[in-house]
Amino acid sequence: MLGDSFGANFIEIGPIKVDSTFFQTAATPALTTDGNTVYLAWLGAGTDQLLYWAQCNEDLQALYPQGNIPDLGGLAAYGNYQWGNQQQIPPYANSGGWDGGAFGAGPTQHGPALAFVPDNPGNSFPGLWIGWVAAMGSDSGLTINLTNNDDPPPPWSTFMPTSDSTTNQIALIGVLSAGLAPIYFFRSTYGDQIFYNGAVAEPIESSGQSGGGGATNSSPGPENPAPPYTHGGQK
Amino acid sequence: MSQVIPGVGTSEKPAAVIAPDGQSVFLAWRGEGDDQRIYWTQTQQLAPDPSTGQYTFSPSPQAEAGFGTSHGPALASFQGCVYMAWKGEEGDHAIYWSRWDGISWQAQTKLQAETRTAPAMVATGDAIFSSSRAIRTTTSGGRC
Repeated sequence: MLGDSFGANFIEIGPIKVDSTFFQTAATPALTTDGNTVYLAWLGAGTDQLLYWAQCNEDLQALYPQGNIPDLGGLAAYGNYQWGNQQQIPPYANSGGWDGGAFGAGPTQHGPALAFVPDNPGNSFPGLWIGWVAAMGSDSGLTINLTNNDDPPPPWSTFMPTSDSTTNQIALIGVLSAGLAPIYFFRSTYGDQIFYNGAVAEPIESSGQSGGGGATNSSPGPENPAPPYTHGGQK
Repeated sequence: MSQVIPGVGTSEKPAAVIAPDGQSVFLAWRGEGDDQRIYWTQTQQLAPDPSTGQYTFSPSPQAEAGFGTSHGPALASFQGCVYMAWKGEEGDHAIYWSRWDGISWQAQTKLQAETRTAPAMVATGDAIFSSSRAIRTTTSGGRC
């Protein structure tokens, strides 16, 4: 389909179903890229409140070479757009300050957010970040949580609970705030206003703790955001 | 400490994307309650001011005439422009999108794909992808 608003050469390809019967969701999925690979994350379907992710296995530049615009009869080329197997974002051990039990990326009732933080000077925690909102009814209900993966595929190495909460999906961008967390935007839990994490805080070095042990600082709060910590390479 | 974006809030998720020049952030969201208009604004810096933790927004949040959605929109930076995609208003499952050319949003264009929730978008190389929850999860691609 040609779209005049996007230039004479714009062609809509698809829609194409992501090629696995397991790639099903009850909410809006999330997409991001590091410039070479496209990453997809999503909430499970139905009563599945876990989060999953996959990365595209294709060399996108090779798949979509300049000047090689397929016609609609050429969809087979795009049918080769291969996704790796879905992988569950792994659960973490007791995550400091919250009641015990496994607590992973989920349970959640909303779709996740994805962002890629480039490995630039000053970015303490580069890599692929995922954000999600803890499900209502858990101790950390509606809390915004973040984790990152600096060298996909897993392990997901840094887990970062925040002091914010929301009743909706969040938006995440690949910019670190005060050396602590990527910047996220969210709807308030008590109204319709939109907030973002503009925390001004002293940068906190990663403690490198394993097994999801407690944070080194006091309880998270607006004036004292929780430091990130590692979970020991759990897969 | 969390900071608030002044003006109209939202009943859905907001969307954010780093502008093509890497120097600011575009934001877009559906209005509050029955207000299905799409609002947008732009920050004047990439990260909040380190001394105040606040962004400066310019222009102030404003509704884009003719754009409406029952869910939150999606944003992507692609080939020097910002693109926005959104599901239609209540009862309209079509996906629409538009491009910010640096001065204004272009007229909306309707895609073939349909969705029951907000779409997601990402751009890489010379292709822009949207993904959404349709009857099943689908991925659409396009290119300029």
